Amino acid sequence: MGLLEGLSFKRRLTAITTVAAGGGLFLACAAIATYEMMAYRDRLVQTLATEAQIVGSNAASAIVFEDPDSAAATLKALRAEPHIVSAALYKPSGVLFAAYTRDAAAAGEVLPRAPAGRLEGHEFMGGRLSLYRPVIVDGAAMGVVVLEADLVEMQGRLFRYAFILLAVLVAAMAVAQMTASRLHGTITEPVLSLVETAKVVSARRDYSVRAVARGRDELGLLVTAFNDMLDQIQERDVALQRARDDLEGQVAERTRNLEVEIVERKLLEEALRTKNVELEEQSRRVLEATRLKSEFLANMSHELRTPLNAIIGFAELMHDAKVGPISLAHKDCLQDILTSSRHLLQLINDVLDLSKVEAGKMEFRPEKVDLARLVGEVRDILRGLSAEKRIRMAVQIDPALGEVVLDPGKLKQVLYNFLSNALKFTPDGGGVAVRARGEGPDEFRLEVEDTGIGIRPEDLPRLFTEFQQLDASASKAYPGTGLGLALTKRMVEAQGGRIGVSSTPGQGSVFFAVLPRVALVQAAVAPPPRRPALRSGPTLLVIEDDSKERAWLVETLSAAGYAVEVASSGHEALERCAERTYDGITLDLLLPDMGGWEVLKAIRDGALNHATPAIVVTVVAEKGVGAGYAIHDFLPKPVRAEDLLASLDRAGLRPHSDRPVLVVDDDPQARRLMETTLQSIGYAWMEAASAEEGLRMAGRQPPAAVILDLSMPGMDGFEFLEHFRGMPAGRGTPVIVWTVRDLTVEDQGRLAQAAQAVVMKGGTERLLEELRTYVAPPPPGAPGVARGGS
Amino acid sequence: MAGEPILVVDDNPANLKLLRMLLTGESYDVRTAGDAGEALAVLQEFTPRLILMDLQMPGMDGFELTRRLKADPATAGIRIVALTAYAMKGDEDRARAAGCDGYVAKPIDTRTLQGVVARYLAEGAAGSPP
Repeated sequence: MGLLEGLSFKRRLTAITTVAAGGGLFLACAAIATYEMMAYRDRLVQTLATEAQIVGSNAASAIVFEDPDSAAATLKALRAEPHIVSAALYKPSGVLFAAYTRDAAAAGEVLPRAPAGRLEGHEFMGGRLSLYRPVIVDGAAMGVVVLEADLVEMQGRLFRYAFILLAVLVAAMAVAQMTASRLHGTITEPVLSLVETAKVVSARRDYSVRAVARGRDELGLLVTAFNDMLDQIQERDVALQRARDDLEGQVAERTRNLEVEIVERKLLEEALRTKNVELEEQSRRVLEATRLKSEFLANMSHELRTPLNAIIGFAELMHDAKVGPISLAHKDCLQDILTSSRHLLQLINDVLDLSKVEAGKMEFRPEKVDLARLVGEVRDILRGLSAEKRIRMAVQIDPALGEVVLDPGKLKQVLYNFLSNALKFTPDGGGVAVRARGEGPDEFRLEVEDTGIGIRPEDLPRLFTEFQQLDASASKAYPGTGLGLALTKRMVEAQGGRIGVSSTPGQGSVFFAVLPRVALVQAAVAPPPRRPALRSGPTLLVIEDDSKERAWLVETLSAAGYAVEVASSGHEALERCAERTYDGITLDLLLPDMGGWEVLKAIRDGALNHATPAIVVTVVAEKGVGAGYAIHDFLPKPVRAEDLLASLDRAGLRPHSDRPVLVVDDDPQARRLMETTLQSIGYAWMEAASAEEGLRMAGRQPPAAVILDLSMPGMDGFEFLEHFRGMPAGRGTPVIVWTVRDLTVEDQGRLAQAAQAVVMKGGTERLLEELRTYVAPPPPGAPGVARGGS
Repeated sequence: MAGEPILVVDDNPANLKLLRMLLTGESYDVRTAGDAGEALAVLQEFTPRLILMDLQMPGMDGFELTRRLKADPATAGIRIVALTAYAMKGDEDRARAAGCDGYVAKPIDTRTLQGVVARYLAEGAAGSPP
């Protein structure tokens, strides 16, 4: 079938039909022809044998009588048989007896030869048939007849046969062709129609088309199968379509649901947004309210502190008999006023602190804290109370704790509250211990243990709540604000710590705070640089390398009321002299890095101190060497204090200033309080009711120091400081800020640069302490000089 | 009316002292107590005609103490005048509900207190509650 591949089914069918029909016919014809040929040959042999027998019978006598002519005549009779080409009579000895040839021209040449020894038989040779028969006479072979016939007739027949065959074949082919065409109709047609249908189906994807079935034959079955297949496909399609429709339905349903959901969600979002806006508005209002509350509290504390300042201040003045002698009873009453007013002041401060820590506005300024020193300072503040009750205070700080970084002020407040509480509730002669140690890698524990009355377990929860005092008797003896522990708790928590207490009634309590070693809150501003150490009295530079000598000089001169700066080497001295003008210099001639004279020369060459009186203090006995340098005095070591001070006095450097202290405050009562206070001590003073006036006064008369209120109408204290520091009179003058203002970290930073001290109003005690540090008090008996400008 | 016994109960020592000074100055026989417990102890041996009672005290407060005293026949006759820094409306009602006979708001007016005390004592003597 290899040949047929590639042909169309129709051609293939035609070819097969033709070949089958042609082949079959050909084989049949060939078989018939062959049979015909065989039969013909047999017949020919028969015929020829009969003729040979006849010839033999006729010629027998001739042979017997040796008559060749008669024999020849007999043979000639064969002329009637055209197919006999030649004939011969041989004697048994093989000698030719008589011969005949159909064509005379060929006589003698083509005579059949008698086969040697053979009497009967035939053979086809070269398109001729040779036949031998014996001539029997009386039962004895007397000779052999040989006839030779040509096969022309047979060949003619053969040709005819072939022609007929061909004709039949052609006819058969035609019939086959026709049959194939017919077959094409019945076989190819349905197949082609199937193909066509399949094409349509695949082209249109229309599975509803059906091929036409034309019978129950294989093709019919095929078509049926094909249609079945289409049925199934269509069914599947329908199922698919249904499924898809279902799916689409579901998708549509989902989509609808989603859309509904989206709409709902949008509505919800809208509602949320509205709510958010409302909440934001509310939160803004709350924040605003909180801000207003804080502001109100800050203002209120300011407003409350201002009159309290006068109350406390005047009570102090009267109590200390600064305004005239008072009786013990008066003093006692005044003490009560003072105690109550200070209590009130503390309350105001605590309330303000509490509101700040609640509003998250409390500012923390962490810095490295020397715990031992801090604990010592707090202990010192409370020493009076502990001494009064004979309470032992022990301090144990674990040396392994190392450094902590926290706001020292707030830490002090925490410790102060713990410690003052412990002292309050510990009976006379008891003991209180302050302990600090690490707690884990990041925290440390500060605890205060007392041997006090202890706290009942049911009271513990109330302990850190505002205005809850548990014990009446103790609070009677030592009234607290009722805010201390609550405030302490909030402050500790605001710094990321926690607070707690354990207590056994009758045995004592342990209050503790656990705080981070390093404050979690970052410093709002960098810790302010140290204030310039300004003093109003003459400032001396002590140039001395020996630490003991230096300490003695500083102590002696400070005690006498001078401001003292030190330089322990020539270079340091020159650096300092390049920065400011000193009122006087003491100079040791033996310095580690430079010669004393060399230092002096360099100081003189500088712009600022070329005329500063210098006192040489030295063991070097070479007075003469000083010649040529402007020195005020030459004091050999060891120097006596009187000599040194007398020498300074001769140089016109007197420690106390007769310049007035300038008080700038808009509160007349505060001014009057200061006036009375300063007068009682002997300071000269002048007062200004506004910052502008203060600046004018300072311009006319450089003050020894300024006591400055911050909150004033018009120009405030900060602006005053800015202007004042720009004036010649203001550059080196100490300023002590005395205020009721609640200072922010920023305020404190600004003041750290420009003011020497900040004292909260509430009496004059602390203020005077500070003032004495900067301005040496006048000798007793010196009259205060009022130079009030207003 | 000199020598009339008066008890002052207040947890603030300065207030206590002030009241004592004021009343002693008027020649009353004044005792003081810093809390309810102390007051009850004083009342064991001292029967005042009038008690000036601070209401806000740690531990047992003035309301509770007043209720107890008024419930005890031995002390029910003592006139009790509330002293309080509570300055809200309704405080006086609460004080009276607790059994107080009168009400004086803190801070006290030292110039009028004596008059108020004298009036309550007089009313007490007359036997008609105000």
